[in-house]
Amino acid sequence: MADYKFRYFQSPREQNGKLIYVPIPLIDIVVNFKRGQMLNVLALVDSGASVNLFPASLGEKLGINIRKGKKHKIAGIGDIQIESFFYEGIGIFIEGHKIETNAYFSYQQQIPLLGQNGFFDKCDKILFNRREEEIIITV
Amino acid sequence: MKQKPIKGLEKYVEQWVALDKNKSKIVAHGKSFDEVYKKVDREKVIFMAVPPLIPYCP
Repeated sequence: MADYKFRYFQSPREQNGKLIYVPIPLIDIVVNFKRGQMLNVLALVDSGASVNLFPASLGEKLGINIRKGKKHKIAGIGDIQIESFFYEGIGIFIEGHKIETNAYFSYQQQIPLLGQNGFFDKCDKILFNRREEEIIITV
Repeated sequence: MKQKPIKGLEKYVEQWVALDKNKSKIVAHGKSFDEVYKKVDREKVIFMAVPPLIPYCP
């Protein structure tokens, strides 16, 4: 097992007409599909997400024919449902450590999400230290 | 040590940017992932979809 430490990302936010920065658990990962092209992206470690959900545009650049995947509906906040397509054979690399997993791809999703099934369940431990603004992922 | 904010990132909310590997500056930006992808050497950048300026609950 190894620990990988990430710093929270400072995300811009408008509050009472002022620009502030809010730390969010956005980490850099490398993602690929079946030994294809690797892309470095920032993904949100989202303990409230049931699955990994990536933008379809990212999947297309990984060489995935998105609409040929198994179609699913995914519900989000406000009970809005989006259409997504499921794929196995996704590689997520954390500082070079490969996690073999799966993901859903949607044309209605912009920010890559790392969720419970497909990410959290593949890690030994994920520690959110909000005060110190760091995330430690043990795999 | 806490991460430093990236200057000017707020100009690209709900768009895509490419950051340098240290996540310290914006290398390219565009309205779509494809647009940014075409502008950069993909091995030298980290792609990011910038969250909205309002609270975000995905």
